Amino acid sequence: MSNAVPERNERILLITGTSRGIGRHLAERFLSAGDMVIGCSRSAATPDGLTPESLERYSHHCLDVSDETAVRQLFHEIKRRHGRLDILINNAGIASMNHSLLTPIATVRSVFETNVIGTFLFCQEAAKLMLASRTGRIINMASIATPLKLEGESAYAASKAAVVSLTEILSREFASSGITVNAVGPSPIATDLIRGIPTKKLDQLIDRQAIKRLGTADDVYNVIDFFIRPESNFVTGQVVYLGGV
Amino acid sequence: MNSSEKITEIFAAVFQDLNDERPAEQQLEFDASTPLVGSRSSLDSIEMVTLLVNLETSLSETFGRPIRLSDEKAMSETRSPFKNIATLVTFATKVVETSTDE
Repeated sequence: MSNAVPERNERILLITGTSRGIGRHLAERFLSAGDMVIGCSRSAATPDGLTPESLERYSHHCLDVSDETAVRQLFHEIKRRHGRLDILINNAGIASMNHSLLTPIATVRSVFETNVIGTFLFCQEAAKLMLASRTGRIINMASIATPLKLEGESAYAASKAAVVSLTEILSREFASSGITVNAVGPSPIATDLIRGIPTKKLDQLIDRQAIKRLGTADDVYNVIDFFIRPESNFVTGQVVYLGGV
Repeated sequence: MNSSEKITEIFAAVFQDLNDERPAEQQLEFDASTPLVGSRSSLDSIEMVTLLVNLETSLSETFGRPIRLSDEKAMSETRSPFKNIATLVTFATKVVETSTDE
């Protein structure tokens, strides 16, 4: 029985939130590298700019990441079709930017359902699949909103603090099974998630980073690429914030 | 073969996998009264989690639908369905017979 994550071109990845933004970019990058990618989002979408050959290695599932029944069905299907899962990237997330006094509780619930419950559920089901092969990589998505304690993002930052806590604890719970759990905390990246932030506020935010520029989806890919390398089997429970936060 | 017999057979295979991971001098007997949890159990917490997850996976594969043994009710029952092999087989049989395609 192998207990090393397969080399590039032989990996089976599950990426949540692949309909747009970082998730879509990650799916395209891994497909271009020859990997098998299973994507999901609430809407039906397939990454574009790919050769028909790459698209043969992509399958998309429409679901809400916090829907326990749908998620369990997805993993049942992965087990049936592929027999294993090597890498999970919990990318799906939603943001809420508003003063806490003006944030509806329904919004808080929605943010936590997707960012925390969704991440928990996918980690849980992925680890069950990975247990059998005694190896696996789980990557969660944190945010610089947590360490920077961003005003106006209380629900979002708190949900991402929970993701950090989950990452740290699950890394210990899963370590003896050869599964690593790490997180990447992107700085602002030009995606739909930050579309509503005024330019002035964005500039102030970037000014708090050591490296003062917007991040790119490739910056996120680079950190994930490090975490999932076979040689990174001694790296777990870590959160890497981009931009020097 | 009825459900209970089939589940016992599946559980025996999963249990054998567990024994394969243990040293020769720490092999466990697959017997109805073998304790799984509590002070009389020889399983550590990780082994118990692995055993349950592997049993869930095997049952899901065999019956062609997701089967979950660790639900809220099971965890809160006063008389744990995970007490020994016989109680777990009884519980798993009940879960399988009442589960439906989701």
